[in-house]
Amino acid sequence: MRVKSQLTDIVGAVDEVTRIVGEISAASDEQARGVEEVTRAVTSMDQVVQNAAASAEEASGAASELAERSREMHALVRRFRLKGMPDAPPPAPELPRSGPGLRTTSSGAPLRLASSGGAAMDDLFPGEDDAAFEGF
Amino acid sequence: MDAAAAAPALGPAPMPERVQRRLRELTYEHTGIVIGPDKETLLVARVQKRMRKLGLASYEAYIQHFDAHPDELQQFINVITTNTTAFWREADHFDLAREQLTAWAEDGQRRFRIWCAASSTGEEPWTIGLTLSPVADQHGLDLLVLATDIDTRVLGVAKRAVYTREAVRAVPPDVRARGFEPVPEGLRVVRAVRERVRFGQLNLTRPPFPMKGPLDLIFCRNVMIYLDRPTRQRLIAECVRLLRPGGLLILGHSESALGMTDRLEVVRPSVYRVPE
Repeated sequence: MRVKSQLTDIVGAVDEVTRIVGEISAASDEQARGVEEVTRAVTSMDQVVQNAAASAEEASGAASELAERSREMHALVRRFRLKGMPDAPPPAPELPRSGPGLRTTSSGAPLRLASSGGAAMDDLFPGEDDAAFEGF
Repeated sequence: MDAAAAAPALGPAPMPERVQRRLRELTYEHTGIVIGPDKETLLVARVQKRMRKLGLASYEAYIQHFDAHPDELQQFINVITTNTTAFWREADHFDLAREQLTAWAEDGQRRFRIWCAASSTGEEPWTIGLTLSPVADQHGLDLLVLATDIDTRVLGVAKRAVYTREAVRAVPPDVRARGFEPVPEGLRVVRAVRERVRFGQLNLTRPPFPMKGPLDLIFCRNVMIYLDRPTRQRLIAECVRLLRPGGLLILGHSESALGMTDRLEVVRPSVYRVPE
């Protein structure tokens, strides 16, 4: 009799354990889904940040381009004189960035006019610097 | 060529969808750069730049010119790439590199190879050279920097190492004093630093690269922002191949290697290490 009641207790306990394990399993699934969602969200935030960074650089490039154009226009306009104009207007301010600015001489005249459709003289042609990779 | 016949108009003509698609595909194929459909203005502005130089009045004429002249591809790449850069940009990376180099030198390492993957007009590789040269000189190191870009125009500018005083203003005064010499067009990086930097053209979307490695430091900053995920993943894998154990991969502040590889450990955001 005592053995029977003990066995019944054990069966009951096993059922309880099974139920708890099932609950843990369901909770784990839910957590896994949650983690996946977080990962997806972080990845997409990452992508948004990187796209924004690219757009910012592109906008900055466009601004430099505009600065270069306005400097060229300034240089062109300087050549004109109106009657009664005392002196030449001051030279255009130096560009806030490198690159375009270094293509002008100290007098503000372009070193190389943007007329040729071919490669610029100071371009590094493809293959010219293959030796650069030696030792790396 | 139906050149220069274009009447002055208020702003560029809209680019036909077919031309847009072709140019996007060309850009992706040859540079890995993704130009989304939301970036028509960018595409138009940059292609117009080429058309102005060539005296072409229509997009169709440009496409014809492109197809007839194989060397136009490089010119197209040169205008389509974005070259934003500055001296001492995201400056903490250079402090980190100097500290790391000092530690390695004190451990007895003498040979160092550093790669600046997207060097643009040179501000970044020269910043690396100017920051690390004193450590290299002090410890008598064999230290060389390789600077690469896909754009041959910016490589030409970078190699000349001449910048306006305005651009050099971002350089700390003590470095400016020892690292630059006056030239008629502005300031030039001094020879001792110039001798440590090599320049070469490289397409980051086409691994394997010609370098053999092992490299100690790779600066691959603000270039993956233009690439799609598979291209980024290939690029990071190639960086991992080239780095020695313990070597560092330094990305731009807005970039991460998140979920791209399991072969790098995070040193801090945007800085990764190949485990020893």
